[in-house]
Amino acid sequence: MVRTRVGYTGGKKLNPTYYSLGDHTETLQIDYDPTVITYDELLAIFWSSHNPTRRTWSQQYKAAIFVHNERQQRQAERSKSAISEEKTGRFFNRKIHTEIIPASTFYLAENYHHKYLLQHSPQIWAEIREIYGKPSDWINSTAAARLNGYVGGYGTLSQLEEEIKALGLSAAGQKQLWKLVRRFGK
Amino acid sequence: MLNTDQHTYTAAIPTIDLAAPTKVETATFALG
Repeated sequence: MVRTRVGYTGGKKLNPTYYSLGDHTETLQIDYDPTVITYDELLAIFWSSHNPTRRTWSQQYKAAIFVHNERQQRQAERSKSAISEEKTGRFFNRKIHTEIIPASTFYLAENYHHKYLLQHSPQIWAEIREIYGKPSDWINSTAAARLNGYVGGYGTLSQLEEEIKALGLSAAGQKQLWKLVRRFGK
Repeated sequence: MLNTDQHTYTAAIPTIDLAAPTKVETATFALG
């Protein structure tokens, strides 16, 4: 994962904000290296991360895949069909409400929505703020995205061992991160 | 994209940022 951002898309309202969202949907945008992880693998994670049979009850919180090109459209549609056709799967023969929609303008959410878990890990967050001069830099940072994942319990101890020195933390920050990650015991 | 030319950082940029690939693909999801 190269970077992650949260924001609003899918609607017509110009410059939406959290408190004036209009017809947009809350979304996660991921920049990834396709030589490391494929779109099909991301789709598999997406389908396992939500209940696609739940009916959409608001534009703000609907489940959807916003496809950026025809290839993504084909892969997304194939994966959507597959989950309702898999006889041993949880969603066999169920109606899938998750939509597939062409991607449109993506508006970044306000700063306090990004790297949310990291922003609530005071010591590590203080170091990130010292490293990056302005919010757009930590919002777009690979290190901040990885750290946000680790403090949320994603990633393993062996992955952290491999890349902790590349994440820009001081010795004290690294120690704090180890302490947080060990709580998850992976 | 992180702008490494105009930074005014007080600490070093993490090496993982400097090593980020320039050719990436984008995926967008809403989880409901």
